[in-house]
Amino acid sequence: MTNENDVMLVAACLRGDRSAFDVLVERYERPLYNAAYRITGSIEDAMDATQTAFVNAYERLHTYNPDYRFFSWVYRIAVNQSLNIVGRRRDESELDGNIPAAVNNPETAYRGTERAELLENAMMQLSPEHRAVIVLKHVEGFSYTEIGELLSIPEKTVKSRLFTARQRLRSILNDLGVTP
Amino acid sequence: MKTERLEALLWERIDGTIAAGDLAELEAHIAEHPEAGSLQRQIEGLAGQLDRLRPVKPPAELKGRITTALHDVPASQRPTRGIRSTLRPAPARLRPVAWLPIAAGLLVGVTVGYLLHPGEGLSVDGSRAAGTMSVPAGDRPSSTATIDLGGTAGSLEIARTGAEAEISVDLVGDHDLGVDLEAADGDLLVTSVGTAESGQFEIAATGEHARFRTRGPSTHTLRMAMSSMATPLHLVVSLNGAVVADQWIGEAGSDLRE
Repeated sequence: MTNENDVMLVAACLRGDRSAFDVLVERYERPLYNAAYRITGSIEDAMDATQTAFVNAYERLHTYNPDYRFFSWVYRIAVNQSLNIVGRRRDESELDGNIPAAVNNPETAYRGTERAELLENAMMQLSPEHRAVIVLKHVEGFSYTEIGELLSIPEKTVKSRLFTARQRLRSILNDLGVTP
Repeated sequence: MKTERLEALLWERIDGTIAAGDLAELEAHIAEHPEAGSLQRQIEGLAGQLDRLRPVKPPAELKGRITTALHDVPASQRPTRGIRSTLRPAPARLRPVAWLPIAAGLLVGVTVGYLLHPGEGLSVDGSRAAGTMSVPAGDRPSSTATIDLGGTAGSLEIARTGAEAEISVDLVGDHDLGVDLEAADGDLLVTSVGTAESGQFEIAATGEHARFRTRGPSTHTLRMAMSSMATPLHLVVSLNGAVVADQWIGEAGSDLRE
């Protein structure tokens, strides 16, 4: 779908046609939810992040700049919202002394899990920032430049962060006795 | 080659971003160091697994939750028809132009009136601003005003043509500029905002009001449309919190007010 089409829907929404925004929700609900789910690792948190992202986008629609893709704009809001949720959860866990839900020993890791689940569990041991670049690169297939725009970080930082994230992920899997 | 560089080059090859020279170096290293094959297999295996992570389907209730949440957004927080942007071309008109036939009729009427009474010209009402106003000749009614913001602050110009108006702001130096606009009868629609410098600005537009704020140095162009060419436009310009211009911009024959 072209951005011109999205811009027309935004314009219709700004004229008061709320149903135009419903079309945008329909169009981008799935990729936003996917990013949120991969970053938060929780269905409920992913739903919250996706919902909040769309509501924030709706309330700030007049600030959207049509020189840029609408999808990138709303996706960025969702990624940031997901990172915020994970950050809040991390702070709460630290206060409570809880360990975030993740694989923390090889026995647990191997018990009845498929390889993909193992990888997803290992991803949850990454920091949210590292997890985000892995998701954006490998699951969503964004380029370094696009990831930089979505996360508001320089392309050089994207590369170094992605390198560290992959290195850490491989190390976690090795510690679990899993050779990728 | 150190392990870290080997790993970086292997990932760059997978990502398709490796430079030709680096690729040759990598392939030579792998050929000469069979032990590098282990790391290569690990990384390629991990990349394959990551790329096979499948998209997940959102829960069915998510759409309903979003729709309900959007419905619950208070009216005061719903999107307005104003826009905020930088360096952008004028977008497509953001509202229906049902008033165009009326405007066209008025245009003909006013033009005829102007031709019959050219000496009276197309007027702008008296200004309290320390500025000057000029009325250009032309075959379409228009009104212009130039507001001198003072020696070091720059200037603001407004040019109105029919039901549309354009404001050009050239703010020199570190000053706060506020522009408040009000359409006397009917809606005021800000159709585009452009800026030629990096100065921050804010704009809010609702109904018949629009409010623009910026801090210099900056250069901006605002374009707006009114419901009809007969709609007087009230312009208030403030510089560093003090009103420097308060005037009506309108067409000949329109009901200009002080």
